[in-house]
Amino acid sequence: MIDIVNLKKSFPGQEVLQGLNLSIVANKITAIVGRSGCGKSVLLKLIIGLLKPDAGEVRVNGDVLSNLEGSPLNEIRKKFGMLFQGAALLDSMDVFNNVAFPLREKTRLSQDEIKIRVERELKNVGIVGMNGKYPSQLSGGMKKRVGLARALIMEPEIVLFDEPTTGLDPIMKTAIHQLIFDTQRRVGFTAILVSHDIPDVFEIVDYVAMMYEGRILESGTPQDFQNSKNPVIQQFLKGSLEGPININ
Amino acid sequence: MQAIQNLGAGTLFFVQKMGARMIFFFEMFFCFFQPPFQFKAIIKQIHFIGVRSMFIILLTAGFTGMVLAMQGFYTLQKFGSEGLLGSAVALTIIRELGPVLAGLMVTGRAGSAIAAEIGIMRISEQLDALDTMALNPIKYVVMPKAIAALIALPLLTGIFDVVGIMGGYLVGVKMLGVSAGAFISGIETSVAWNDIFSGMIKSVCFALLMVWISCFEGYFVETYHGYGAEGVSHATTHAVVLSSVNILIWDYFITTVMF
Repeated sequence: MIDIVNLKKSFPGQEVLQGLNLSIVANKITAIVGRSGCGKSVLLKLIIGLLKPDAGEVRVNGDVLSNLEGSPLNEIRKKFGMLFQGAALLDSMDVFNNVAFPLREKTRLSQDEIKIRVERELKNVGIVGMNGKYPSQLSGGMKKRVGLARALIMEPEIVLFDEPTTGLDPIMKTAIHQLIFDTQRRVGFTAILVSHDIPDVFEIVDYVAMMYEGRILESGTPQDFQNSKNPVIQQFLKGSLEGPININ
Repeated sequence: MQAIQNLGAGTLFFVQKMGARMIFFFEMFFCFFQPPFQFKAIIKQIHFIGVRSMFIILLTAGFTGMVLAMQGFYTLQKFGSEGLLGSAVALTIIRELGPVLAGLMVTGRAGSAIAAEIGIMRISEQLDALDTMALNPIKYVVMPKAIAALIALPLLTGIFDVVGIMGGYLVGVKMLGVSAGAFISGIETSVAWNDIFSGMIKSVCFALLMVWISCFEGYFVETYHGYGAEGVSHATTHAVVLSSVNILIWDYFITTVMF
């Protein structure tokens, strides 16, 4: 469904992606793991077209997304939903209006229909009775849940999660993981999840890919990944200071 | 050698930024004609840019008219022409001070807020979120502010003109003893529709300059000003300074063309 071919991206003084190749399996959850600052969030932004690659391409159902701009790009983006690291809720709108916003702007649904769908989606993510709250009045976990409801309200085919559990307590982490897993199994979208929650995240994903030095080092099922003999992966899984990964 | 490199890099940066500004302007301009129109957002912005700037405009206009009448009176008195005070105050305010000072005041109040608001939306990824929803951030965030500024600033300029002249009347007629008839008839005979029209044209241009520059600085905060709160602070300052300077520069050129 999503094919990433020889993707390269640099910023001044930093070569982030150095010819990355990856195929994302449709209707499954794929986790992308790797050290902080290795370019995972950049990869997500390249997948959804927020950044343009220096070379290589991102293909979504055969369409080369990285070549598109304007309306053709927006047509493909309609297939996507994205949960940002900080949820990226529109801070001048309350919870209800944040979730209703894509429906209002992209559909011709009546106010009653919008209300029904928004309340259903908020209930699915465990947010009840918070409709009038503003993002600044919500906790980190609540923001992520509202962000998830907004990402899912248009029933996208592909959902990108950028570190959905960063900064949350262990219980909330498990709750968000379970929420992503249950929602994906119920709706069946293709999920790409950038995460640092090793090994917790392995319990909910179908595939894992590890980024290292601007490329995918290895990808496979969580079991394959955990059984890998690659010393880089073993060091990463153990969180050890000793090994081939240079921590400086 | 280093100096030449720096000059080249500086020139490239300048040209690239000017290009980005022009592209941003045209994107903003084309959004004016693309439905759906954000009527609620436009009205909210008119309230923010227009209604909430009213007090500062009234204050500035009143005192500008008053000091203008006072200074004008003492100058005209030397030539025995106090009777011309009304036309001097009215023409100066309508043709020059009304649009310029209203533009500068709105820039200071609303331009800085616009740059900060859009800058914060950029650093908190709210603009990216709009993009991922297949919504054009320029259309949803910038366009309502641009239309609101284009409506609000000419109206504020009109209010500035009226209050400024009233301030001049208060000082000239009530305090300094100029004849009320001479003051009013001076205005009536000297102010032409063309003067009012040119003032309004100026205010439309200044609104466009203010909103274009302020929105651009906020929108590209990370590209040109850096990250986080410091980047937003820098973008806000830059937006106000650049808008104010441009208003003064373009005032000269518009005046040259129109008179």
